[in-house]
Amino acid sequence: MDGKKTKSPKFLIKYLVVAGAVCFAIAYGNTNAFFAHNLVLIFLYMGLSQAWNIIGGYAGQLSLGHVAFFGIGSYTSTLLYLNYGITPWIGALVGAALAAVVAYGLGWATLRLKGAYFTLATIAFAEVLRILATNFSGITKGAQGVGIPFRPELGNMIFRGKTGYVILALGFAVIVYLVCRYMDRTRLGYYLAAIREDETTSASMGINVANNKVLAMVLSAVFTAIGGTVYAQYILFIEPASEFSYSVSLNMALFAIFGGLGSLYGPIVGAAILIPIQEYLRVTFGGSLPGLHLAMFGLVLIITVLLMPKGVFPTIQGFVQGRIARSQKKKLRGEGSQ
Amino acid sequence: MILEAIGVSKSFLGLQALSNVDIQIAEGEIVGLIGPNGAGKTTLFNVISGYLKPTTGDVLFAGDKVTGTRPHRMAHMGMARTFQIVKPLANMTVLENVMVAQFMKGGRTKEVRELAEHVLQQVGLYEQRNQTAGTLTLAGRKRLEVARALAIKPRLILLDEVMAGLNATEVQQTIDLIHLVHKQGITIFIIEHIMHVIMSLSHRVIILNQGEKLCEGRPEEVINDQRVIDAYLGEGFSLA
Repeated sequence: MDGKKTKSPKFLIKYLVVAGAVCFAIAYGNTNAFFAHNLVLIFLYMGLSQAWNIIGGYAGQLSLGHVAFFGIGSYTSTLLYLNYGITPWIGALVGAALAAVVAYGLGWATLRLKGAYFTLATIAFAEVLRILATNFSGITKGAQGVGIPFRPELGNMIFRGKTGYVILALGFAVIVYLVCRYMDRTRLGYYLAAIREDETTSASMGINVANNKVLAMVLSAVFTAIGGTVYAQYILFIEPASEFSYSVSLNMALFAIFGGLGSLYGPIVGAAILIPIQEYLRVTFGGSLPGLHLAMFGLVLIITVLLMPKGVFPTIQGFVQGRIARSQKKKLRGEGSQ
Repeated sequence: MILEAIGVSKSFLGLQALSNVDIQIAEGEIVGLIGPNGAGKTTLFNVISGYLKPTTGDVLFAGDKVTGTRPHRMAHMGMARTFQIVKPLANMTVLENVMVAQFMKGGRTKEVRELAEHVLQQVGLYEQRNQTAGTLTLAGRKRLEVARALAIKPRLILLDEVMAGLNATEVQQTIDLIHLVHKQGITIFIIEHIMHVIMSLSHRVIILNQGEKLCEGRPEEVINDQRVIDAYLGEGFSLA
């Protein structure tokens, strides 16, 4: 949350380097399917984790049930597409709207719950949706899941090869990032951070704590649902066990916390580091000894959290800023002695 | 009258914290609220600022009935308060703390930042603006409470023991700060235990004892009142 606006050439270079690296990665992904698969997941989870960060990081309400909105998004767009032929581009927006309504209700219902109780309520809520999706088999086809026929076309949000999906997921990540960046620099970002710090003090400064918390929940849910549609279109198959899987909720929270809770770049850094590790370990060790890759992933997490309790991004940022401050001091002292 | 409390009572599960308290404060006054520990001073502040609903009785702010109005609405109406147990937004910087309050008055982030910096200069916290609020000294945190209250441009400020725990120099600085706030036309209602502060600041003093208003009057009247001496000041009290 720093609003320093330095529109210098250096600033431009930073963007050009990022854009260049992304273009290069997409081009390389075109020749390497595993790499491209990683890119899709990285970008998708950058967006999802960023969306989670609105309520979990900024507003400090640790939700572990965000897969509920993810599932609402994927089921809504898929069922609309298969039953009524509505393009997933529109379906994604309908899913987002539906998720917004559900988040509004969930937000008000859990408003008074603090800490672990809020977290438990969100987990329970996601579980309820998973069970509903399994049992309302007339609508959802239940546990057997729903396949989306492979008809590659931009209008169907289905692509031949992975490059289209890489760009789709990247677009999703960029949109969520831009919204969060705007929020970070304006009133809502400050208000959510204030609510995270102290609700009593926030009220004394004229903040409607309840409304802002619910708004954060709704915003967060909207983008999570869109991410759900993107995922469904990528996998082309949805089932309750994966669309409402606890591990999606966990990953969204984990990447944000690992990268830096409540910071704009935390979820981006978290997803960019952890997805490749997760995928690499799964591919390399997943077949040798069941569970080995998860144990190793856990070990990586424990070590990082011990070394950088505030998250990777804030730690690196603090280190760099410290270096700059020291070198400036040295410079000043040098000039003083002359 | 900017603030009126009419027959305000508050009980917590049978414990009578306030009983039938009447208060009137005119625009531009500085009114002190004193009384022994547990007299109900902070409870009265909480009722006035909307953090607690009175069991019976009414609160009027600038002539409007505001009984039970929620705290954030009260802030928008022009009532600011500080907390006895300071509540900084500890992980945010001093500047961000004040910006959050300043946002209530609207404006773009850049303007809000400038206005917040101006408030910090007023209260003498400008140099510490980039520190996180949690690293401030107690005196600094109390100042930050006042800065946040000022940023919402209130008509009335409720100050709850902003001097407790400060040393003599810091107390004097805070007195100067309160005079400065008052000069901007803001009415002040202040809870304080340090008697010479109350004596030098207040136009009028209200004494609360066991949830009831014992008496009120000009400071020099009040400290000679036998009831106040018995309940609060003690025999042989002198300011020196």
